[in-house]
Amino acid sequence: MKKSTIFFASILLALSVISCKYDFIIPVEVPVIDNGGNPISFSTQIAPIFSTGNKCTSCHKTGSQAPDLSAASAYAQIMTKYINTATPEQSLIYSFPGSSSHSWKGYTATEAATLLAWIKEGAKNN
Amino acid sequence: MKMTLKSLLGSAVVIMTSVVLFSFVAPQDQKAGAAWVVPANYKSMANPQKGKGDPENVGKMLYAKHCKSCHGGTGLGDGAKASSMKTKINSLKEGKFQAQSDGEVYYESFIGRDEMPNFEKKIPAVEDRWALVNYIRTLK
Amino acid sequence: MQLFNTPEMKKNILFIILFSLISTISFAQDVATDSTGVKEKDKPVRSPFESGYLIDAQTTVIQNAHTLEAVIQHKFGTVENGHSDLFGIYAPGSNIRLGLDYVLLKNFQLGIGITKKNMTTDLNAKWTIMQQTRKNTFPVAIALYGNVAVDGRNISAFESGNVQIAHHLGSVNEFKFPDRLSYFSELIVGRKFTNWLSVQAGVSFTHYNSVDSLYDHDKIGVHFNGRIKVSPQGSIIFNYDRPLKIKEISEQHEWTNHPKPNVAIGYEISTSTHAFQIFLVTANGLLPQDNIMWNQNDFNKQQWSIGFNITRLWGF
Repeated sequence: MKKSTIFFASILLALSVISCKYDFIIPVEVPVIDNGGNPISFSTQIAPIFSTGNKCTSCHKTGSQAPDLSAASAYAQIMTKYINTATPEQSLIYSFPGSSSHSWKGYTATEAATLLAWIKEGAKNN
Repeated sequence: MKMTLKSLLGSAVVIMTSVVLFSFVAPQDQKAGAAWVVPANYKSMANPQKGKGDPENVGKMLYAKHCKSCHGGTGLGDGAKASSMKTKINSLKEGKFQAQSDGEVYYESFIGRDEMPNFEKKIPAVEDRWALVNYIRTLK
Repeated sequence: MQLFNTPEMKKNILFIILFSLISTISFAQDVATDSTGVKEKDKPVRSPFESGYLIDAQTTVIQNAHTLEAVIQHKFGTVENGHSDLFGIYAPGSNIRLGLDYVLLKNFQLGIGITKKNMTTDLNAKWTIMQQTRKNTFPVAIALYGNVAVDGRNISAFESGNVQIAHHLGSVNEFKFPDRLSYFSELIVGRKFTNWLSVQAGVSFTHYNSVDSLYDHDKIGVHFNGRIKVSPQGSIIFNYDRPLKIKEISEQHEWTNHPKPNVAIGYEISTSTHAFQIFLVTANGLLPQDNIMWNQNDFNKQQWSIGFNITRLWGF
């Protein structure tokens, strides 16, 4: 084996053992949503959650995975069966992302709380 | 517990690195290939394009596509895949190789043996094969 | 007269036109005579393309008979998020297709594939009707490609699970297996201009058996693609696919979300047994009908994705 190979292999070995820590991640507190007394707007506060940075729309778009959360169709699509106004916490649009069967994307705590508050206010198309 | 985890991780890294390095056969471990046994009909086969060279660069393109990966860009037998072969690949520039008849070169290139693949299906056009033989002659 | 205005009838007329075009051309092969006046069969040009795949398009090239080709086509998510998701490489909206193509007879190939998007299975066939010849007795290569794809998602993905038949307002029928099907057919005409430049143009017809109520079932598209060889093994490759707005086959009053053209550019490296293509592309689908019907990624908004294709050949 070449000298340089041994040298680099030992660097690799060293790097793998020098950083050992024992930390716990602190869970986030559920944020309180204060919209200044105004109703939460679907078009300006909820719809952007789905499309900013293609967070949801990279898969949930027209012609692809249901529900279609692209700007034009989002409200109509989620009203089909993803909202439960009787028990807001059980709304699929709220509970499914981030669950074990949809582990690849979820909401941040603020986004989830905003969405829940909007559903509780009647899930209006505002 | 702490010590065991560290040494386990360390040994895993060392093992993985050595597996990667050992996949290459050292030059001294490669076997020299036995002499080729070329059937009489190939030995005496005439090159229908003798002296015509490789005017459309067909041979050159075919060499780059099919041969370069083992035989190297200039035919020295130093291509990327050469070191993972069990048999040593001799240089195509060698007097011994070039002294063979065109028919023998044709047999060795397209019929092949062992680690040298058969190229009859990959280069089905006879005309293209002789253009490649002509190109191999220029590697001298 | 009413009979001729239905979409089904229009589709049939289109097929009849396409097939008659093909049959007039296929009688044109002739033999060339060389300088001594002896009739010599004009051979097909060598490798206008290195592979049957050119980014998202099919080429007129079919491998030698009894060759098996395995293909992996992959596209990552869009690069819009920059390095936060490593230019789409980490994004969840990726797509992959695994396919196998077998050349049954000279110039005829059958294939099967599975695609992640919409859990699609596709069966396809390609027939190179005519090949371009070296002495120009036949100046272009003509190929016909067609596929049928099955959307394999659970019934819950299709909204109510019920469909309304076109022109029968108010009818409610169950969503059945045929509603999962989509079809794509393309006539490809290509020419190898020089050793380093090959170009193709195509016209295609896409049909989806069931679509959302605001969309059309049929689309006609035009395609333009090619390669520029820059080294013995490397080429620059490009694709342009454009769905057309044709009022006569549209069932809607307005163009809702008319799909955007697919634009792609990349580099190909070909070896004896593999072809590697790496590219930037706008559409996210891997089946041509998906790109013609549903692509909303806009070239003008830099909605690119990185993608790659790998093909491997086995000769039998």
